[in-house]
Amino acid sequence: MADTHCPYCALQCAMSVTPTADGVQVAPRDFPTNRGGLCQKGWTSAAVLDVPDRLTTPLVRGGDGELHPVGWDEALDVVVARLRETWARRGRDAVGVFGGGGLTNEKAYTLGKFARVALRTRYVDYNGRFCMSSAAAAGNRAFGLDRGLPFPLTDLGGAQAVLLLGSNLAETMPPCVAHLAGARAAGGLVVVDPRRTPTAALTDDGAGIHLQPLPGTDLQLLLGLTHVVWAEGLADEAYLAERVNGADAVRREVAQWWPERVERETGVPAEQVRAAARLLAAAAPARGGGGAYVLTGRGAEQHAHGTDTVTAAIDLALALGLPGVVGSGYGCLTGQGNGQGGREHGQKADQLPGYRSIEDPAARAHVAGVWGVDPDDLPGAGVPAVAMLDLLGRPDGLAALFVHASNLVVSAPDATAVARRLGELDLLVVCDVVPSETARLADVVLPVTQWAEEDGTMTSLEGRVLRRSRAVAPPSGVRSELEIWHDLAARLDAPGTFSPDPDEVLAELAAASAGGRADYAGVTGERAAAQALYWPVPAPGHDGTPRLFLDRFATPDGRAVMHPVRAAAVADDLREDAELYLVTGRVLAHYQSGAQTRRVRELTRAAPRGHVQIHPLTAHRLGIEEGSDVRVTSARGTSVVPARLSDDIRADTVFMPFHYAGAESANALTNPAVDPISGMPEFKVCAVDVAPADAERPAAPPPSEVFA
Amino acid sequence: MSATPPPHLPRHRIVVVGHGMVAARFLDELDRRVPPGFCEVTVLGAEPHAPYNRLLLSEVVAGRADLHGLTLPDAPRDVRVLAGVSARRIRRGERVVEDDRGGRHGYDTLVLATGAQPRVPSLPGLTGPTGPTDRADPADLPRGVHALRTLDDCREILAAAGGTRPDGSPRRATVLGGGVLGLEAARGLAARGLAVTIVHSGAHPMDRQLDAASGAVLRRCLSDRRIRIATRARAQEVTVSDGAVSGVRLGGGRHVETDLLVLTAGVIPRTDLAEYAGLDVDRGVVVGADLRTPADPRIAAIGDCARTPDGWSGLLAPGWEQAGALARDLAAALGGEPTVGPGGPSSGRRVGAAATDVVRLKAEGLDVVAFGAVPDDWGPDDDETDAAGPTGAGAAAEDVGASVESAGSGGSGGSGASAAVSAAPRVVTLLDVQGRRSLRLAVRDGRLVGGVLVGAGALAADLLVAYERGTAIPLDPARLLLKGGGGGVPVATSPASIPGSATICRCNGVTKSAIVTAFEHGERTLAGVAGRTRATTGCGGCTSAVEGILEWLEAADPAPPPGAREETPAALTPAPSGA
Repeated sequence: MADTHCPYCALQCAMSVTPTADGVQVAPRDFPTNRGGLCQKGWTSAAVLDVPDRLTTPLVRGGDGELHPVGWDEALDVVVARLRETWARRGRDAVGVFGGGGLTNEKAYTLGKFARVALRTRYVDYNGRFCMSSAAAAGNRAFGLDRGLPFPLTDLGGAQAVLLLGSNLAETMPPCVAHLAGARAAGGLVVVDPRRTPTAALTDDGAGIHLQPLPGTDLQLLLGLTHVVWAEGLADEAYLAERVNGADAVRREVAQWWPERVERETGVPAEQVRAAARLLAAAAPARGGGGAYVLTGRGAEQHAHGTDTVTAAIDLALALGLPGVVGSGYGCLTGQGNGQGGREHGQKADQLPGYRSIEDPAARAHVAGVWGVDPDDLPGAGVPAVAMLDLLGRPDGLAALFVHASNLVVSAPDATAVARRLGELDLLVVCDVVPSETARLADVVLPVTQWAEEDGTMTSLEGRVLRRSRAVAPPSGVRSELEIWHDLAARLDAPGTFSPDPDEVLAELAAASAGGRADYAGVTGERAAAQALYWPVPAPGHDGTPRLFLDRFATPDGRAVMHPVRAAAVADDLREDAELYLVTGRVLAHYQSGAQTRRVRELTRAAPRGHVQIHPLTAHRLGIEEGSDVRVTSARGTSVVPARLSDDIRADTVFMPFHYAGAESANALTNPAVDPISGMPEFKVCAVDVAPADAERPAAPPPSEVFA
Repeated sequence: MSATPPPHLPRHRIVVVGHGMVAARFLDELDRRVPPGFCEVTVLGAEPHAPYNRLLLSEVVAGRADLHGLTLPDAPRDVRVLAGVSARRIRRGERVVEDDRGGRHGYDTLVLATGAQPRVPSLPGLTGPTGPTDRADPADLPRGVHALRTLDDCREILAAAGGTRPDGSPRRATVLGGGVLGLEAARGLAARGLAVTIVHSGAHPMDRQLDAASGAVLRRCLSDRRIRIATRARAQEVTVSDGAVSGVRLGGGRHVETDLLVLTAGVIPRTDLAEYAGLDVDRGVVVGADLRTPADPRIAAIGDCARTPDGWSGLLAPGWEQAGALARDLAAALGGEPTVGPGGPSSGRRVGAAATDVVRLKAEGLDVVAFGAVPDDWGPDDDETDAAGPTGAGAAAEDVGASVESAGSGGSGGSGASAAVSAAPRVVTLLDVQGRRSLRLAVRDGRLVGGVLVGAGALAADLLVAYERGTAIPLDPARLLLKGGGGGVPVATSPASIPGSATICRCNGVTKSAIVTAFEHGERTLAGVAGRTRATTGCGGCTSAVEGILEWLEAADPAPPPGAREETPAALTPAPSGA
């Protein structure tokens, strides 16, 4: 038996895993974040360990076009030989590495190091670009530091008000709901979502307010909330004077966003805008309230103006005097299991371990020193995920790609185009535990260990470094990525060391991150097992930092920075032949691309297929009945899914979960337009046409008829 | 933007006259589109203040907004702003604007954004040195008489609204004009405790926007808030005592005593500059679709001072649209690129739709929205039916059929030839005087084309979105009249009436029947049910629901379990007990 944490989301519920004669058993453990709870995904997580199609041997695509089992040596030799061919023909930057937010800290760190030191490519990025990048960019520019929650999750319990923007945590991290009990009891939960999700329903019966804006208009709504705060004299002027720069410019920007204008832009009634702002202000400490939090999730962030939207949320929190105050604050709810740690240690195109910039000479010198290489040999910054995927197979782009902990064919925007691009590579190497949709396209598939089979650390949504412990032996034939990089580095005669031992890697990570923004200097495997520490942990004896910013923000002058932001239109907005908005998200029974959860019987029974949620009046107008197959078409592709009628969604909007592949793929429809600052794609809104699947297919309009 | 200014070419000189909300928007839109260095912009603003949000002045009067919170963002960095400087004259031949300080400003493009000034009715008592004209200078008014157009007006009204009368009774305010601004001002002053009377010449308040029934409901809303209104009332004279206003005499001789008179009788476009420059003026500077004056394409006019081919509205939204259009046009001419895509925050609006004609009252308790056009009668009459008028059942029935058909065939390309027979819009109404509601909607071809809403509440937001974005409406437009389409089904919440298939524990997908099965297998406690089904082990939110079901089952079957059977409920895997 081993004490560890759930393999899925960033809540990282504590659990014990016990091998028994009847198979591996999972039971919840008491921990502050999950308080002894588990959702259906967690309860059934052990099923992924021995799914029937678990990969247990390397596969190499043969001359017949099929994947064939081979030994490890042969597989690695193939990879190395073809890498060398690619280098000879196209140079180092023709090879890319795509990581994932599910990798342990040790793997995320080694992945970045492997790319920079062994492959010597600047092209490395990861699927966290699809989740966390906008919140990270906004947090960095406002506070000088990005830790999802800069306070313990349990602090939420004492708050009088919580504003949740674009988070459906009742389905995505159900045990987290318990932390909203205090705000609900005070009538202070405000949920912003175009759907009345189970999370939005938590505001029922006087527990709060559900604001149901048009997709893509969270920014305007936030400007309106901040407008009311200032218009009605509810801002914390003393706090602003003492701790914040840039307030005046924001106050003047929001002067243009009075509630009636916001109503027209967002569809949220003006009186609800006022009521929500007053509710938050009444809970602010400056007004004698019991504390207030502003929290964002992917719904607000996954937009072509996601960084500005999060900035507007932070501006609101700062106007109310919340961040850096015990019992109040701003936070972002990280999604993937190690979405926090995964963005700190070098998987991002422009970063080195410890959240250091790869363009900063001092940071390069420090990290190169730890790695034992010449700083001048480190490549420069690459490009964010969407831009990198766009380079695949292009003559001047990438000819080879390594993929880890990511199922791009399902999870990337405009997924059909991504699949086509992957097919144009000379070499695609995928490390995975199961034959995911992406693995099936690979030239070489390497079977790897998963959660209960390995040791390591994960950093949860509250910035706490948790110990992941091995409970069962991996199937024979399966290796950890750390071993794979170790072996490949040796074959490639790479400089430096690539330890296969997680604790050794953690010690190296600690040294590499020391002095950086995400400072793990005092974290060891031993300490992580004994006590989960909140980073920064800048020294061996340091007890960690549960609450950031209490004395100063991490900016040069210690003051937070407000930035005026301007509203922007949805990139792919409604037009004559696409009259409904599509929003995408998750359902409780599945996780991300579904590569794991779609293999768990109990979960597929709960949610066997994709679906499109549609308002009954809209369905009636379009001749769509409950359960009937519906064709959803965007400018990029078409999906066919059954209809689920519900008046929980706006009549001008439909929703699809993105866990499904093939004809049910939501991301075949989504828009790869990206945020100019973060590179985050606009997953959360695009225009679609919706019709019964058996209806005659409308002729595609000529390009000139596309309306702006 | 990658373009760099061509160093060999002189910068394009743009002079903007006026620095109100439309001018500020123009500068912002231009800044988004034109790279630095391509043009040189000078702004002459008569008011000494930074630009501010004029629309919120009535909110300041109402105490719902802070005077200091009205200031709009500074002009973009490289714009030269001359605050407190008025334009005196345009010398078109020289392409120069002269200001009142003796300054001369050469232009390649001149943008007139001079706005409008309050109309001062030509009444005895209001006539200052300029004589009895409705173009009197508002500055010449007797004490206690104020327009509500500028920050200074607002400050003066606030100063005048304070305190009580010598006898301790509330001060009295009269609002001359019962349109949008008049009602907002009246509501604001009433909120400050003044006794308010509206003097309005129309048959009901906001008669430009509202039909009689809606107006009657609004009138009751005013009455609910102790705001008096005299309708069909013609002011004959403003009485003045010791240089201060004392009342308004109405036709018929009635005298409304007052301590404060607020003029909200409309505005007049400021066109003097254009007139003196020989440009065509007709209730606004006449401009073409390109917003340029026909006589001189180097001169453009936007906002309240302009009369476009669409007419003159006095609303902000069209002015902002014009500001964006002119900026885009100039940017294109200057070689800029459309850096922010095809539109600003409002590009979700349907191309070509007249979605800028929305009137929305900002006044607590006076919930009025009007947009588009709603015919006063009830749709097309049918010649064949009796002479009873437009209420004929035959006309209405035919209207239903036509509308449903057009909606059903709508969707892509619905605006084709079939629209040739498109009749007058179909009008649906809901009148609920006691509930202070009057909703009138006009629909055509499956779209909302107009609405007059009093007391719509949260519904108004949905209707505005449907109108402005041109989204398709339900087949039965009557569904538009209730929030949520009126299709909601009450949800069963008692343990007995919840269907067995209903999910009780969402986190673990546990249905009511699974809990019943667990009970039947002897699990009579919460912990027992949790152990067997995992219900309550996620977020814990269903705990009371599970307890309720157990109590209901216990009440129905209080007998102890007859030796609980051992087998597992079919659909469930036993959860291991916490080790």
